[in-house]
Amino acid sequence: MSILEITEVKELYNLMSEPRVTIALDNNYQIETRDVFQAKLNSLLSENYAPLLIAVLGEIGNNSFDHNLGSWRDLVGIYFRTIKQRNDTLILIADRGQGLKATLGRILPEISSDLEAIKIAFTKVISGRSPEQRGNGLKFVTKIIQKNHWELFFQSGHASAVIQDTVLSFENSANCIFGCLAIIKVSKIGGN
Amino acid sequence: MILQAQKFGKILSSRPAGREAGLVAKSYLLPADLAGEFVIDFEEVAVLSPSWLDEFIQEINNYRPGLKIKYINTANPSVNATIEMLKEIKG
Repeated sequence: MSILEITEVKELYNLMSEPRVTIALDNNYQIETRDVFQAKLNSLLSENYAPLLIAVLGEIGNNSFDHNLGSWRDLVGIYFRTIKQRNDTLILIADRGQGLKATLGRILPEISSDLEAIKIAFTKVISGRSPEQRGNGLKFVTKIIQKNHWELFFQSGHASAVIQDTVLSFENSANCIFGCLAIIKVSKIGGN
Repeated sequence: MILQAQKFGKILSSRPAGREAGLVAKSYLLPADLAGEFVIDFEEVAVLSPSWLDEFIQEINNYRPGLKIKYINTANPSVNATIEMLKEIKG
């Protein structure tokens, strides 16, 4: 079964496809501030999640706060949820922020599409928060996910990035995600 | 000068936290005559991410350009991967 066919993922994907949202999917998983997100990461550490996995989740979640504080599209903060399945764990992170194209477009106005934006975000070192010098979060995420044979689905606007079997690929999507949606699948939460 | 990174927390993972740690280090922890080598000790740090270290180092570099920064106790996989990532990017 593909990640996007899982019920909880489908619900989140559908919500993220709505141009305007007024109610969070589930307030138990909606995190409005970075402090609360940091506390969630601390609790994952006590649940023996691997340091590298927490680092990856921290990069993705904190990116949302870094780039959207004060400019959320509607819902404030991020949706953050872990789902344990029979053999795997899924981690869902979503924000109703400006999305990659608008964020990167502030410093690279020549970006013409969501696909171009997501390729740059995942492969080129650049910061979406000028004048900060580096924006290496998603490159770090890619490297760690590939190295550990985890899976990633990431969509912003009409473009998605997928890492499966260590291969990073990009494609256009007919559906639009308003903000960013990341889904990580790991077979083992502990270890490195 | 050896700075214990664990004193900033077990999980060092965001830009604002890294920047704040750098500002605190400049104001309260680093000697005014700091020169030569500056060592960051990652013992007992559970999670480190590039955004935290990037911001922290930028603050230190702004404070003392040209300071040689060295890392010790980097066996934790997230510490190791973060340092490698920043080295790769900086060249």
